[in-house]
Amino acid sequence: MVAADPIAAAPLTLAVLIASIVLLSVRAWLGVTGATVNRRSALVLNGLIVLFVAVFGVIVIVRFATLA
Amino acid sequence: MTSARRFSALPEPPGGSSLWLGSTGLLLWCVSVVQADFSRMGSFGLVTVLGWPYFAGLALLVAGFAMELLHVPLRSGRVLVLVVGVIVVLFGTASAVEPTARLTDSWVHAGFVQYVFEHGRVLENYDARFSWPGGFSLGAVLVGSTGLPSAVDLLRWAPPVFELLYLPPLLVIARFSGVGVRAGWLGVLLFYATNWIDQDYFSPQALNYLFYLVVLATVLACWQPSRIGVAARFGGAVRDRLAAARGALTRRRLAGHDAVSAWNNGRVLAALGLLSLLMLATAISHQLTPYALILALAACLMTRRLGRPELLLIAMLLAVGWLSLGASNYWIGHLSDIFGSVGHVSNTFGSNVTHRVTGSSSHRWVVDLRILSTTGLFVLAGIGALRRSPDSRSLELLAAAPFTLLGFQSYGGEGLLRVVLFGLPFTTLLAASAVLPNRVGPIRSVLPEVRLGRQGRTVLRASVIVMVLGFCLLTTVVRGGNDAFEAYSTGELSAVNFAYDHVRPGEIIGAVAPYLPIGQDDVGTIPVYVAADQAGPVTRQTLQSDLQRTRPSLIILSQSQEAWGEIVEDYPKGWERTLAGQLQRDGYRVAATWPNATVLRATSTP
Repeated sequence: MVAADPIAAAPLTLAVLIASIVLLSVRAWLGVTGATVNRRSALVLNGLIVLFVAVFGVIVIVRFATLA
Repeated sequence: MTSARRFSALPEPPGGSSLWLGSTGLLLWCVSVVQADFSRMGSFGLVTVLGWPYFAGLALLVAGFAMELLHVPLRSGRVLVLVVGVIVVLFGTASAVEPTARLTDSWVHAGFVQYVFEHGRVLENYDARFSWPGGFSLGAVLVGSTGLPSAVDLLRWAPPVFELLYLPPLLVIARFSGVGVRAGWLGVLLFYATNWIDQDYFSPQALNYLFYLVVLATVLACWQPSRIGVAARFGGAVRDRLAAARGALTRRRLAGHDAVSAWNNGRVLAALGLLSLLMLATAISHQLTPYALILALAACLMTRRLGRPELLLIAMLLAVGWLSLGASNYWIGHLSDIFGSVGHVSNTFGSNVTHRVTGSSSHRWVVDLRILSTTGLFVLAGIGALRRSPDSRSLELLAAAPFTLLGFQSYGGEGLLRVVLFGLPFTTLLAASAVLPNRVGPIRSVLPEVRLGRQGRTVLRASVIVMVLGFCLLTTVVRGGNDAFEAYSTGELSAVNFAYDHVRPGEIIGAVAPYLPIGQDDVGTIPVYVAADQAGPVTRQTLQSDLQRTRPSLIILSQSQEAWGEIVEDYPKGWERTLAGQLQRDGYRVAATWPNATVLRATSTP
């Protein structure tokens, strides 16, 4: 769980942030190059992006709520 | 009808004398700069020391531009030279006339750069700006790599340098914005003619505005709107237009499928990578620009000018990620500073506009002229939006999008200025469309075409001269309108340097108002106490009692602070001399004096 200490919470936030950006970059690369991706893989990729961005959003909101 | 075809049907203008006009204009400007006497500056600021050669030179440059703008064929090289000439005149005059850099904040930023250069890190819990240290770190790299003793040497000429750096991305934006070539040039010149907002001094916001322009220029150059049958759907009825506007939020649009790129895959991927790096630099360098960029990218996506929505999401993640992690020093314990004004639009508007219309009559005049200039620009932009037939309404949305920020942040009473600045490249292109509308796009114009007949070129040329020259004159007056207290003499700088040289560890330097070239030394070790910055009403009595209570070891009194009192606070002439007398009766003595500044030192406890 996100701790009250910002230093303790930072690595988790950073990891989720980096994972989100990497996944978005992969999606952009696939979109620009027009690489053929089957429907299932596309769904998995989009699902992971939604998941990581949502987790990042929750972490940020919790940090704001607990540390403000 | 394209502008080239429209103009080719009209009589040719007289031979090319535009460069002669431009070079004569620049020569007259040089004369005005040499003749200007900074020490005679009046309450209206910079304009009071500029003689007739300045205005004649500016008029000649604008006349040359108008002549060249409507020449067939368009000679872009000549137009560029004339635009650069106007930039030098509008933004180089203060740097050339005033003996030191304007604006206290630029000196404070030089101090922050010096701290990073000397210590290799930022100072924790000192100033909110240190929570976004990217610009200061870049400044430290610049100081180190050039061998300069400090960033102070970069301050004076920063405004014209930044404005010239803005020109390439502005030209790209104009070229790919969907307006005609001539309207693009006019829009770029109007950007400079209406940019009185004064955010181009040595600062993170000036640097980040460059990043903002580069990102949007790249996006607009990379993606164009696909033809999605808008011609058939955009007829003329308001109902049809509203129905078409709903298309901005369709799933297909938000997935970026309505924008197409003529670039090859490698080039698009390289652009995406570089834009992500620029957005990272922006996220760690400035509080407001990343959010303006997010809104602008969203506007591009909704108007078929962004093909990869991932870019928008990455911008959001980087901005919020840095705020949450890197800038936690800023918000932990006082989050209301960030979100406290959410939804309080009327309060924000009040702190941004009405609370600024105060002070002496000259100050109120300057503020009124600022409002007039910006209002006039928006009226023209509105006319331009109604007259043009674009291929997408991206300019309209890009001009309007930054205003969303006002719903979230008053930004210390400066939010409205910043919002206008973020929309300015697009507002000015719309204003240019009021005179030179593009009529070849599939979205039909609201207003019918006006046919000017055989005298059309003359009418257009006169319109361009009146519009551009009018805005240039307004900007000359209002941009330097605070220079009576925001520009500093060498005497004032000597007084500040004297104070830094003679202050001892543990002592405080005091000032009446934040109008001094101060903050460039001893960041974090020597506090500067400014009486006018304290909470509550600012009267001569509170200034005196604050200084008596805090009792700084050294107090700097100066011409700029006196001018601030007279112009902004409407204090009587000579108020600072009265204050100096009171302080001397209270145990201070004159330590050193210059023609425009005095340093007092505390000698004993009263």
